[in-house]
Amino acid sequence: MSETAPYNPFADLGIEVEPLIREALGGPPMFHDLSTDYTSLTRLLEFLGQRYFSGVVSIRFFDFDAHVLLYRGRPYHASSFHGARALAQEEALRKILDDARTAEGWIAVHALPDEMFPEEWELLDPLASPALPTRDASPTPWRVETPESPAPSGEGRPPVAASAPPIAMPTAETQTVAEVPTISSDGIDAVAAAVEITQANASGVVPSVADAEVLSREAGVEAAEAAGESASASTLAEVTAEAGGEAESTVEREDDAGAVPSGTAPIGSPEAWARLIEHMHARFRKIKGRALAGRLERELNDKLLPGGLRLYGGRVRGDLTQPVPALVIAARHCFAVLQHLGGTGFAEKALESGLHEIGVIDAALYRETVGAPTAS
Amino acid sequence: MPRFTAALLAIGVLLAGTLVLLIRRPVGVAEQGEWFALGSAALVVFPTVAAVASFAAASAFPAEEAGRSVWRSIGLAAGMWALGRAIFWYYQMAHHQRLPFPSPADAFTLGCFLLLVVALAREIRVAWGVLTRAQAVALGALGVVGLIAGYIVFLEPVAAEGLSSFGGWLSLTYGVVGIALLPLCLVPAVAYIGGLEGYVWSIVSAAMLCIVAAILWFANAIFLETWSVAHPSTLLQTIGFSLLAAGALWQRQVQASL
Repeated sequence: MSETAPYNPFADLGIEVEPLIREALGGPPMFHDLSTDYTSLTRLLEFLGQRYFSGVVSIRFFDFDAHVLLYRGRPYHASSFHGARALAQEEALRKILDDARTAEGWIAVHALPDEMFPEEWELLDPLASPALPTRDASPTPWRVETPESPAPSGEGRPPVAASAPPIAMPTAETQTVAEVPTISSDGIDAVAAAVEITQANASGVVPSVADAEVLSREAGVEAAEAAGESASASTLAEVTAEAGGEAESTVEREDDAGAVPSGTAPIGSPEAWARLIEHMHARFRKIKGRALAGRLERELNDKLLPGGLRLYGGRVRGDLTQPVPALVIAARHCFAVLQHLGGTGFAEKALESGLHEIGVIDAALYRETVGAPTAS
Repeated sequence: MPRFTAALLAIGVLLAGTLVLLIRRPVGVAEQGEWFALGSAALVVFPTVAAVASFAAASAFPAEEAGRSVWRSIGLAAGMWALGRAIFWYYQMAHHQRLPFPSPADAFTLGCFLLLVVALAREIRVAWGVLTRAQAVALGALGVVGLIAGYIVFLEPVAAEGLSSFGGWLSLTYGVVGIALLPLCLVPAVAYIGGLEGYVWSIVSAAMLCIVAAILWFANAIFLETWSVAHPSTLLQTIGFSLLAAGALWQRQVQASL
């Protein structure tokens, strides 16, 4: 039983927070079991803020649990239970950030779609914390507008502006919160940036985050596999081109996409394209199996590597803060392969569900870009 | 309960009940008559169920896609099989003797095989291209081994009787086409291994194995005049078409989940 009832601003608006937290914790986490020994909660919240993340950051300490509920990158609710004393809001957030620096705990991040938050959330003020940098009231843009037409505005996304500040990659030196302007959108790099990398770890090997080593190891294995692969195993696109005449025109169109017209930027944000590729690839893997999905992954990486990106573990890794034409090329290739190995219906459903998942309103532009037939 | 699960359960219960009734060996003329009636009914009902399920799977695909024609052909094949078996059953009941071999019923059986070949050819048209060399070689070797084994077990006695009659050639055709169906069924199962469609085609391959083994056994027995009312090939056919129905329903479920 709490000694003092913490102030609950949500009660005035009739908003229930606990169901949202339960819903988030019930789903699979984006990140999990990040130890506070090597993870800066402050930096992690900052990273999530940059990504307009909505969801719950839960921290499991030895003797208590804590939750921070974020909506579009800002913390709106924090709660922790210290024995008989329950803390909430700013007081809880302060305590959580302090304890994360000193006590051993385990952090998990669970996402929630923006649609789950009622409209009344717009009326709330985010929690103020001196430890967290404030964000502009008008969020900076992330997509790039083409000269000919404005970029589509995704559902639930902040408005797009014409320019974005250049993104600096974090160095291996110890960095403070104030020094780091922004963080790469790659999940692993972001977690690594949240980790306090000291001079002793200047080699870039992040303790307990084995992904970087796995990535380099996998790259070596895949290179060996590609070299030893049978000559008869041509690309999935070539195979499907041989299978039917109509495939050839799509493959040619897909190959033509390799030359993005100069002076224009791809429609849509790089992150949206990356999520779309991930979604279509995941659907393909589910229906057609690991072997074919692995081949598709290698072919997509051939398209993505020139743009400094890579599909690994079902996620597109790399810097997604700048427009990358390779993403559009890869998306077109992915759609073409889905279309010819699974049928047009399968490919279109995968595309539609992917666009729905990333919250795209104007799907027609994406459909046209990947070469999907015009919806009737 | 979801409709897919309910349908699978119904097929399972029907199969279990049928096997329980047919597994016993009939003693006496009366029991033989009952067994034959039940067995013949099963050989019409289960292919019909498989045909309905296959058409349901076909309807889950968009009109212009290959999957629709593949499963429609499989449905037609199962339907033709059921029709052939119905003719066989009617003749037996009406004339109290088995249908001579070959007969009009064999036209439907042959039609069934040809439709299955057409269906598989359409399905593997794309799947074959994504097989690795090792997989293609393995499937080819399996086909050769199956042909040799099938010939030794089922076809050599037929060939030994001399292939002077049309019945002999028909038996041989059943055998060769049936055995060839097995590696063809495995092509999509291997190509899409690990995926939902891989599982569907694995079940279809198992169904084909049962059906082909049953027909080889049946044709062999008919040709050599060793067939009896309670021939075990009936059970194998029943199991085979149950698996085909299950595979078709799962394909429909996969399409619905896209």
